Amino acid sequence: MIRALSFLAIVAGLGLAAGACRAQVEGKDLKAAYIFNFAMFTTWPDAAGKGPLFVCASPDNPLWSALSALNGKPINGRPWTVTELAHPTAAHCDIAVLARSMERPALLSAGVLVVRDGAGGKAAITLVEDDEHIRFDIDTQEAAKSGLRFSSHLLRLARNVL
Amino acid sequence: MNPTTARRPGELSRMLGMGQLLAAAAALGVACCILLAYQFVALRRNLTDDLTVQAAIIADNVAATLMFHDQDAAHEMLRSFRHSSFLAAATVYDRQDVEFAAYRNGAVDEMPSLLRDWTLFTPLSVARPIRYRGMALGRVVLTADTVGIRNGLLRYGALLALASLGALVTTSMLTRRTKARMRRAESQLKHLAYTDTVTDLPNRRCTYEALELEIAMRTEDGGRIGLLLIDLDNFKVVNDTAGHAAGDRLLQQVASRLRATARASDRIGRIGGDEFAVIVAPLDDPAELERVGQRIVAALRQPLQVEGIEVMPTASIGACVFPDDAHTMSELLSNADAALYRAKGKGRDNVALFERDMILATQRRARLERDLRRHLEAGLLELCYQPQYACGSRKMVGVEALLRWPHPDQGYISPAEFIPIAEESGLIVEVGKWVLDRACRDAVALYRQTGMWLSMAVNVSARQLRDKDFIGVVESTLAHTGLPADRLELELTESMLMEDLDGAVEFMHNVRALGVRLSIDDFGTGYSSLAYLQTFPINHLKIDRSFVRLLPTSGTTIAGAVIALAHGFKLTVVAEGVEEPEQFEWLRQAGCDYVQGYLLARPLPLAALRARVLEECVPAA
Repeated sequence: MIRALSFLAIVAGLGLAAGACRAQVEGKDLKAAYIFNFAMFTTWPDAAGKGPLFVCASPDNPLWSALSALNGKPINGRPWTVTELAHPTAAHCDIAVLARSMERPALLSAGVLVVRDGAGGKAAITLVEDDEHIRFDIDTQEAAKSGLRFSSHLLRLARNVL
Repeated sequence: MNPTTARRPGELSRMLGMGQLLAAAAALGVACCILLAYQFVALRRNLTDDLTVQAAIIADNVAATLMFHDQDAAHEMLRSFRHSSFLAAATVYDRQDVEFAAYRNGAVDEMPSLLRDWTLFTPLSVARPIRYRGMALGRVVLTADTVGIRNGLLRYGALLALASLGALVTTSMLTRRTKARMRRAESQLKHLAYTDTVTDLPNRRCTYEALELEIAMRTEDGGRIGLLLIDLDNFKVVNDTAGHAAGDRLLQQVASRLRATARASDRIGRIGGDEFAVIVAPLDDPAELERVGQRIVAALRQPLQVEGIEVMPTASIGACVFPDDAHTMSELLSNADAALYRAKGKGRDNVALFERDMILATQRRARLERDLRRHLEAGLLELCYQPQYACGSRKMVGVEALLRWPHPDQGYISPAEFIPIAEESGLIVEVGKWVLDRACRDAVALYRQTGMWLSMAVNVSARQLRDKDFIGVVESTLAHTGLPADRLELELTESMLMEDLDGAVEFMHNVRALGVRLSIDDFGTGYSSLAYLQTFPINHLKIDRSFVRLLPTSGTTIAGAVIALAHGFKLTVVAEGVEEPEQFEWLRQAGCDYVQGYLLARPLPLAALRARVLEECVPAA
């Protein structure tokens, strides 16, 4: 009950934040929400996975706190769980959130959705700021390499699809 | 004819046809309204369903754009519905109910103001929440234009109207033939209702309506109308002896003679079995009416052939003039009827003009009839007895019962007056029954008191003879009074026998079989037919008093011939009305068997008769 209420509060807050901050540079919450939404439109190779959805990021990533705020929110029944990229508590990551220029760590193997905040290197999805709007590019080849599939709804909204 | 009383022919069928068509149109109208209402509901339902489906598609496709705040993509997506024929507007609201994206279809026609104001055709809206994987994201509202419904409804209505029109045209074409048949039947019915089928003359109803109309017209312009009521004197005889076909032939020939005789402007109608009426109008001179009547009587008097029989269709005519003799239609009819009665009373085959005293005579007849009925029930009638003597022995051998009516107010009423009234009203049957009963009782009483049987002669009327029960009445009367049958003698008249020959002969044989004797009264006054005399099983002939009165200076030839004739047939002869000794003497010598008359005895009441019988017996004893 309390969880359900808190979830509602978060979602409401998210929406509010998204509406209020659309045109502002400060879009960390919005970006975190976008990453959350990407997960909703993504199909992982081990579709049957039931455990928590591990989101790996560096604690010094500006989005860390915004991502952590979403902890516990379910995606297809899997609770959103933020963990450190360098020392993951889990066996593997489902989503890896990288800063603009951060190298892609080698340990990221198949089945990981790599989201990069800002165009800097290879990533399945790259968040970009375009004319004060937050948009995203999708690299389907990268995604295919990781065995990921995106919903057409998501592809349609991407600024560029490679 | 008068338009207020007579409906134009075919009007009823025309009204009926019009009514049927209107009823069919009304029924089709109701059916069309129901179908249109159903069609409207169905079209609206279809539109709602389509709109719901589109809303669901939009909700699905716009979910991602809401999640990523991509209004451009949302607009683009909505614009893809511009090809929809009915979608007027689509609006997407986000979770905060702020408009996110909207689309207005300018291609959809503006609704005409007249229809838009009508609530039935207000635009249709459907709202649907937008969700993605259970997450509420906002809602989409679609508005549909109802111009499609309107057009569909108009097309459907036009189709229904066309179909109904076709059905009505077909129906009216089909019913036109039925109506034509009905019109023919109607006019035929009308013809039957106003025409006598035997003579093709207007019938009673038609004649009376025409008379009413004439009276109404003459009342206004002050002219005169003559009414002739014509009654055939011998129609019944022809009908009974030669059959109904002959009777109809007679009526047809009479009708054609009436047509030929009456003036062109006069109206002829058959108003009863053997009764005709002629409305003589206009009538300038009242004397002209009698001339027309006389012409008709003269024309009818000519013999004609009906089924091989020669008939002389004589008629009695009563004439009455409006407004001289009567002021209303019913008065005119009843006065003409009174005149007709007078004409018959004067011996038929003539015309009687209405006179005031006829009303008095009619009233007197009505009063006498009423009194006779009452007095018969009260036992006020009396019998007296006219003794009959044997010529040879001068002994009383029998009596003839004579009916007397002592009226408390008017004294003795003559049988010549009240017997015809009783015959006309049918009262004669009851009167005759009473007379027969009384006479038989008196004869038995007389025997008990004097020890002598007298022959009892009782007169029978024509009406009694027609009554099938009469033979039974005679039988039962004999049985309960105890009078031996051979003491009773029934007196018939020749003319009544001729009315229904077969019936009369049958009756005579039946009566003779009982042992009752029969005599023919008034022989030689009517249509004497010697041939019939041979076939009648009778016992006596009575010589009428009109022949006896002439004796012995003249009339001896007829009286002698009757006596010889009767004896030739082995009949006994009774002479009536013997008043002079010379008459008696002549009759006795001529061989007459019995006589009755004032010379020997006047009619006596029962007590006096008893005294007379006892007195005559004493010297003998």
